[in-house]
Amino acid sequence: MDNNRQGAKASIIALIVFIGLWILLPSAVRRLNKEAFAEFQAPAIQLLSKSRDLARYWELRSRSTEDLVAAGRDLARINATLELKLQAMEDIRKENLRLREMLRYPTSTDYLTVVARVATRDTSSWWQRMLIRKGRNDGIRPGCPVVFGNRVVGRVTTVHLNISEVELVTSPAFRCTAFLEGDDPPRIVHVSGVASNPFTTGRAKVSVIQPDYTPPAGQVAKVVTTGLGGVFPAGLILGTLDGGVTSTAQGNLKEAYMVPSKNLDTIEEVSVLVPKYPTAGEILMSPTDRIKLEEFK
Amino acid sequence: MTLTWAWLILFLATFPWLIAADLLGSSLSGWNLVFYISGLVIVTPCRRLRRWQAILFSAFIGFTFEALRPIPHGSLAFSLVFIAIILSSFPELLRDKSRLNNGAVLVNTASCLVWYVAIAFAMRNQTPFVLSSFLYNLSLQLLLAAGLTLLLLKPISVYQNQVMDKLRIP
Amino acid sequence: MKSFFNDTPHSTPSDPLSRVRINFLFVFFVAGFIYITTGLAYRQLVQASEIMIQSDNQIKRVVIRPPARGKIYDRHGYTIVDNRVRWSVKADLLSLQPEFRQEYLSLIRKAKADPTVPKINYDALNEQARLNVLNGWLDKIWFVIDANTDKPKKLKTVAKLPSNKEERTVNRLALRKHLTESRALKFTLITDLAFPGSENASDPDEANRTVARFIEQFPQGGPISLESDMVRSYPYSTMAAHVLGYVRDSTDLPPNVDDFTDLNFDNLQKLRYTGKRGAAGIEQTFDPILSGASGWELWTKTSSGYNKELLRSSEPRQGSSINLSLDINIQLAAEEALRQIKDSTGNPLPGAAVMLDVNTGEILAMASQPTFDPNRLVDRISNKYYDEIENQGGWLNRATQGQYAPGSTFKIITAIAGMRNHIIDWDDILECGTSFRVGNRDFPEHGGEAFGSVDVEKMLTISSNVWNYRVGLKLGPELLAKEARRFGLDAPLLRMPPSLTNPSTTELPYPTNRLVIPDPAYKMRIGAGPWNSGDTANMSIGQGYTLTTPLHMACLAASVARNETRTTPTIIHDPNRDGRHEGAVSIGLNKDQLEAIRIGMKRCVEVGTARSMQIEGLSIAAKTGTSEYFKNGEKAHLAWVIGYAPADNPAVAFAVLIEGQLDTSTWGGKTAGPVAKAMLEGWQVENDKD
Repeated sequence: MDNNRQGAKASIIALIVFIGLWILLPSAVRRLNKEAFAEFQAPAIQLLSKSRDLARYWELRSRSTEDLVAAGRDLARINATLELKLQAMEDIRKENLRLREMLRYPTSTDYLTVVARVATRDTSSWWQRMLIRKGRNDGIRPGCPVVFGNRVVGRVTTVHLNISEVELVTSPAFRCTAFLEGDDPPRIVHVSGVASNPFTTGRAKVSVIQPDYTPPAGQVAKVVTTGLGGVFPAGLILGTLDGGVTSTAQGNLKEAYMVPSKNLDTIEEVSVLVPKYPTAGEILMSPTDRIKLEEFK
Repeated sequence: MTLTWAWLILFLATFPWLIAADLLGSSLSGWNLVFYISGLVIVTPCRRLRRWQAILFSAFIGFTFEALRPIPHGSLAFSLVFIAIILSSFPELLRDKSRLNNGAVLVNTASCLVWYVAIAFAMRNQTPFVLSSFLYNLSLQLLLAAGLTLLLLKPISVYQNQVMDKLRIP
Repeated sequence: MKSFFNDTPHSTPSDPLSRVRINFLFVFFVAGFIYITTGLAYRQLVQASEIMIQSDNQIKRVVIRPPARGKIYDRHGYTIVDNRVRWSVKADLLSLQPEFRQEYLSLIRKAKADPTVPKINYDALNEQARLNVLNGWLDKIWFVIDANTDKPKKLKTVAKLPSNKEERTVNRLALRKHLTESRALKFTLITDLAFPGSENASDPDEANRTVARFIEQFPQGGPISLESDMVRSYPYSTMAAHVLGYVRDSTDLPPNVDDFTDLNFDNLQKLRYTGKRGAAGIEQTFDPILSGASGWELWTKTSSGYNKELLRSSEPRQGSSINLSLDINIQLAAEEALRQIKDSTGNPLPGAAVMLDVNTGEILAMASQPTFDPNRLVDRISNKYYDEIENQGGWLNRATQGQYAPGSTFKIITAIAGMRNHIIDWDDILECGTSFRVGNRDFPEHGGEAFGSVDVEKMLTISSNVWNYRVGLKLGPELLAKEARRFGLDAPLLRMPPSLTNPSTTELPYPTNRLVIPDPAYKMRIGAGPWNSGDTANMSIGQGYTLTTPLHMACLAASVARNETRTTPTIIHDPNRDGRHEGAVSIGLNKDQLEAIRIGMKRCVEVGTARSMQIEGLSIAAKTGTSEYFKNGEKAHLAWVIGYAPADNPAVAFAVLIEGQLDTSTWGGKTAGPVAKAMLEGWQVENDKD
């Protein structure tokens, strides 16, 4: 017993010393440690996610041929309509480019789209995130916007070799600028996730709404990305205003809550929009500090 | 098989439980609660492993939980190590079943409290702090951690003891 | 069960004492553990209520939260003074402490290693460490804002916004001031993200882009945060700047702080965010109405004086809004026209223009040139901009603060005085030569020509001097001065209506109090010797000692239009105004006499000296004037025109004054006429709308 107590004392002292060292350690070492444990878990998560996909595949295999034929026919119709729309879009794109050139308007950021399956979700009151089955190997970089169709899902925060962590729109660490539907001329508002209570749908807070804004009558106002911040393309739907617009503590600005436009608990697949060139913020957060700030002065 | 790597093998053997808990959390993501068992899984091994092994085992469990989450890195691992030192130095603390039960609940909820507080502290500049909401969320999270412990202590203990028996750990 | 737990059986029955001890140890460790984790890591958040009870005033402080100011509208409800969102970047010095410390230590190391440093000044190093750290963060912020990574293959920064050195490095003095005075608050790194430097008004798109880039790209959760507040915004920039005024930072504790009753407020240390106080114009005189009521926050503080946690708070209340009588279309027309009157080097001549509603006395336009942009004065006035305005004389509201000899516009008074005192009647004709001899001096006709037979109507049309010399001399200075005073040419104007705020103040700040209607007593008083008939002759044509303002002359025109002696002008719009004017009585002319004045002024526009302001389809009555004044000891000319329109059914009255320079040819009708015309055209557009 005495030996044990002595040993425990020594161990605890050693632990305290080690914690001290840990704090003083270069952040790269800590990052490496974290990365190692993440990579260790990644294959298991991937495997489980893939096996779930497989189960789903076999479930689909069991469908009757009639069902499949009907589904195929529906799909063909949808395809035909979409192809027409695609043609129209192409014309608009060309016209848009021409107009931008005429106005010497800065071209919007080019994105590469990476489609990724959702591996797991991880939610608590402090974070709302998902792991997706694409990572550094697929060209994903931290900070990339994650979308589902024209709806914003969230933003990549950390990238591992084959999986990435995505902070959802409703996560307290999520930040974005937006325009509100019915605000003319559109004025920037600030969107940030909020800590959400258990068993509730995650929400985000829309703040810095100017006092004279009134949502359009008879419909829920959409919250769309501005495209000005260099991260999200313009016009993506972040969500819709939930409930009324209320005055803030300062009394001279308003705020409101927003619910995501898509049930983020059920999405199976997302698209990651990878900007062709790294954004300034990405460079700033780059853990390797490869690019020194001085080079840009 | 030397005993030197027993802790690592035990860790690998315990890992599926952690993944399973995460998967449960994933499929019940609407709950906004973490299915936290990392505190619970160190209880049984700490009674039998030697102190340094218990420390390494707990540290690995802690780091694994933190790796894919925005929790301040090390906060959980070091608190688990602290608990491991206590438990492995005084195995008589968990001598009988009721003590083991209480101890496990205490360990799991206390370590849960630590990471919960740690992330709250890390997020203080990013999201407004509402005390009532914080306490509500925290109490539900601790309740879940305690409930999971009562539910899973038996199977996990049996499983881990069997693994340790196989490893011929005294 | 035992086998399941793989328990060693209780081989040695432990003695009760050791069991108790172990239990105690167990409880002790658990309790200690929970205490340490919650207590240390989260103390500031969880224990808020207890701390509130335990703490005393020594560790608390009150932060006053200034309210949003009320808006200002024009008479049609257009917003002319607004509040806009300002995004400012702030640094939390408390979270930066470790970084400061680290930098401080490294600076000390460097200093110690440097043999050329004789004695280490630790205070200076400490300050330098703070500056270095904050500048490092500022660099990162600007990097995110500036770096244009949209197009180029190779990253490069494109400074899209005009770079302003002041905002790109931390001001040493500002930091020092912050640390001594308000260390509890966050330190402002960039005051206005959308308009950095606040001197460079960039276009709204660019401003939005800057804000968005920062929000979406700058790493979250660190010591740098973005705060938004509302600031005063003047959407029409220089429009009516002299009337509206501007706001300045104020650190005075506002008197109207709510809800302090249970707080024992006086004993608490007070800190406040800088509030705003009206510093000129309406913003100043109506400050009590516009400023609203402050809110407050009760904080505990750390031992080093930083804010620690918020205990209680009360919301600020926005100020009330004000409806001005100005009409933005007429105002803009007046200012644009004033800017077109230029000197030989192409700079606009100083001047003023006023338009009143004849019936209510409400001021529809009040312009003064040169002017300033209140948007650029919102935060702190840069010395450069202050000097620029100062050198041009731009702070002066020439419509209410400028003192000018009214020149020939005064002849209306002379004519009215002549008829009222039966010196002359409306149809009496005086023969007017090229000059008139007073004492031993010849007083000339303007232009040097003789007008021949002149009656009241013709005098006003052609502005004969000789006619006025003759009538004025017969009247004498006392009667002339009496008539001028009857029309209130030296009376204080724009007194605050008692119902609004402090009635002892005026609607616009600091109206000139050096108005002069001279008489022999005045001349003696200023030590210029006894009055002579030359002085009377000069006075009769609005020269000499007479000094008044464009607003007074506009009121004179409005009074004549209404056949009354006084007009009470006001800058506040009130749809229920009854059109009564303080001290106003009938002028006291018979119908023919009044008609002679009115037709004379109408003919003045049709065929006389004010021909330059003719507008098709609008009959205008006006009187021009060109008076002499001394600029740098040399003679220069003031151009005047006053009048009203429509001539038959007067609705608006106006006065325009232009200060000619030494090298400009400045003539009443020719120079000032176009400004009056522009205002009337602006009024016509508004009138057609109604």
